[in-house]
Amino acid sequence: MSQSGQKKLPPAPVAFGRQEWIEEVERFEPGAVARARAEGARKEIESGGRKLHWRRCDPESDSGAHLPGCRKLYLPLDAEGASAAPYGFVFQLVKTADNTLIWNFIAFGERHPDNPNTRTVYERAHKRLHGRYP
Amino acid sequence: MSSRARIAVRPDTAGRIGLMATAVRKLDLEVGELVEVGGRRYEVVPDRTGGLTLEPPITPVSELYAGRGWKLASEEDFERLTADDLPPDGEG
Repeated sequence: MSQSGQKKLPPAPVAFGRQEWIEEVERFEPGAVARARAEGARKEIESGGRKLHWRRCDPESDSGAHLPGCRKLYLPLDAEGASAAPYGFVFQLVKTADNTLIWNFIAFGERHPDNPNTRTVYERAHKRLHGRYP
Repeated sequence: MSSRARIAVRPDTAGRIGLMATAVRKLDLEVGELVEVGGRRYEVVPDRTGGLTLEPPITPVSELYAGRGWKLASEEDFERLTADDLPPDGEG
């Protein structure tokens, strides 16, 4: 049973939409470290061979990002602890046209970029959800 | 010689553009507008210092999902599918 007392649902599949992938990952040049991290993680996720450490996104966070209905993965997936994982994927739960629940990939990026001009993965996710940066 | 500004455009590894111009062409743009430079599209967005900058666009889910016939899942479904997740960690 879930915390709210409702019966748990079977896991929903993850989907990487073409448009989202182009905008989030292929903005980096082929061979760039960030892009390689994302591509490697996607392969691992789609192969289903690794236990994934899902974490809920904050509905409201100090960064100002408002990400209801979202969860995240830190990359690399095999990093020992969150501090060793500089990147993140954010997914949103959606219902497809045939009423299937899926986790749709919405953002990729650095969690704590050194460059103050770089948007965090959370800011990018907020922009995709709300059409503007927090 | 042409009176048009000559602008060299080179995207960096994250797709942001750097401009080196021999003459400045001023653009009267507002947040949310799209421009195309060198065959690539960029969106006008606020920077962190009160100005504007150009970034590759992020298509909102409202537009993506409308085209696919998708809709947001309910809060109940979210709760039932994330019951075993790690809790939020405060960063986003």
